[in-house]
Amino acid sequence: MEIILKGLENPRGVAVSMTGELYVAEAGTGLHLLDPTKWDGKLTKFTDLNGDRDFEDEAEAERWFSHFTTYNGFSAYGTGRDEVSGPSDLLLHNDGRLFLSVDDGGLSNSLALHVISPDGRIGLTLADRNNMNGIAFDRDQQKIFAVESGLNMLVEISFTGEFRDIVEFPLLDSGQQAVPAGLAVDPRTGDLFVALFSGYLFDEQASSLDDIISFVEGDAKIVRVDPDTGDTTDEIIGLTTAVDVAIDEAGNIYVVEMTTTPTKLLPTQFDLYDPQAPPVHGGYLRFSGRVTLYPADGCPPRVLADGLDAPTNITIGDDGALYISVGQGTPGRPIPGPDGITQIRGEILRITNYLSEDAVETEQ
Amino acid sequence: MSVDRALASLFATRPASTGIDHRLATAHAPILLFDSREPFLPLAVGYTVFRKHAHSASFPRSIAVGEKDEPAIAIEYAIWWDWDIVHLSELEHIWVTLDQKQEIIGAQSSWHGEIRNMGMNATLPLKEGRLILFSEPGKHAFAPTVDGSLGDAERIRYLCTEKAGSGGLLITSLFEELIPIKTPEIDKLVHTFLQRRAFEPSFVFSKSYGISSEILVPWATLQQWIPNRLARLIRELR
Repeated sequence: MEIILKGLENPRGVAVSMTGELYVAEAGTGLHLLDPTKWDGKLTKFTDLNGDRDFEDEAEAERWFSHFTTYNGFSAYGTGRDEVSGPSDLLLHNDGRLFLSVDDGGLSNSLALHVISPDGRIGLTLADRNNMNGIAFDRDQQKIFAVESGLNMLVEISFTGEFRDIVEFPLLDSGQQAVPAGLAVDPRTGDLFVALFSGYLFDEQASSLDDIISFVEGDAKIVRVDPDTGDTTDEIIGLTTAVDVAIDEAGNIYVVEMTTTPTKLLPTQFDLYDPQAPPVHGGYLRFSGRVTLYPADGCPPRVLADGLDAPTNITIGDDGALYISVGQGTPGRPIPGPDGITQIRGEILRITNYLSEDAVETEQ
Repeated sequence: MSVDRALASLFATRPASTGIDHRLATAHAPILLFDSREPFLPLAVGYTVFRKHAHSASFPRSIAVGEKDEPAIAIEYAIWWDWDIVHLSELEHIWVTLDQKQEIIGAQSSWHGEIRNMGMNATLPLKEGRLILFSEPGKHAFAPTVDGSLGDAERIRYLCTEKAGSGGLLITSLFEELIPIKTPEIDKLVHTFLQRRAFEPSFVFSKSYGISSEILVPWATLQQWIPNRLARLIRELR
């Protein structure tokens, strides 16, 4: 595993071209101001010009857009969790077009699924419905599937903007909302795999933030959905904050869990942007995210990476590498790290040679 | 005849035509040839004069002038239409390079996001010392001739008819502040408007349009004006 991009502000969807260019959506700092020109959600094209396998040299970053909407759920809705949203997922079509979903939390009517030309211009806007966190092409790249976490919905969107609801996910085992966060299409069958993140567990008697549990460990899961009928079956259960999923041609499934344990919520007056703020987790235990491979042959799952700081997205590149976005939360905010106090850092990780048994550990 | 007040306000801010850069831009402004059925002609042109190496403020490229073996001057013309037949908002570019005597020695133009050479010295398409270029019907990219360099006629016909309006409101990084008003509803309004203007190109380039002093403004002035112009057009569509 290597870090190929750092210094990002809430990296989310990553798309990899056949020639190795990387497109990265960033949700920004979360500082939502009245002036749209101050918003800092971004879309950037990275090209490895000198072939050194990173994208951090001069002129390797080409910023296409830098003022997409951004917001923090803590500031906007008093969630008690440091959770930034904005540009959320990204797809690269074989014809060169990019599809970018943008979540504005309903603050500024900027919810969108944009079509972006190969030279970086926003053309059609296909949708402005709820927060479309995860998007995926069908097998033939003729339509898009999206999960709307706020509505617990899975929908199909045509390239001309027609919608079809596929399924509304029911409550999970402990009675909390499903919160679909990421999805992938099984290239062998066309079925959809959806990561159900799991929502708050509300206590109706709750009198303070301390009485609210962000999520229940083990209640998240990956479900398989037939896109034609909406029939849903459990595929992988017992997960915690499953935030994204990918599947390769062989049927191996890769699951990203953002964290393992809920932590104390942030008090209402907490200043997310104070560099001297106390290092607290902010609703999710930092540095406890992981990526797990569920082999197609039924062998036991293998953890490919753990101890990650709040990973959110996974992409399988044409080169077979896994690209993982990490660092959800207010960029630069002090947090507890494995070796002491550190800061939230947005990075893209690349994992290669992961199918080798020697390269990974078996989950106990 | 109705007065386009928004355009009048743009040109009211134009610097005195005696300004050196404005005179230079006027003297070398290209002549554009449009299809006889072209529904949209340019409304304004933002010029920038380069005398040393710099990045363009309106197109992702650098301009190399002023050093040994390089042209002495480059003039960038950022040409604004409200409409392309496929989308709302349209900006195309022409770059003219001059030698020390301020004579044209080269030209380039934009072609769907790329840069194309329009010729050098003796191969330049000139008319009475001014560059003369053909504009792709409906789409407005430029070419020095019509013998193949304008692209496939069938493709052009398809874009000008079936695909009219299919691109909705187009937004580039230059005008990011418009992203919040970009919705499927706006795209549908644009589609409806442009479908009514779909046309069968004649491929007879009989509409001659010389960029004149009156529509030339500094690029920064045009850039500042465009977002309000688009916001107003969108209000009118509604």
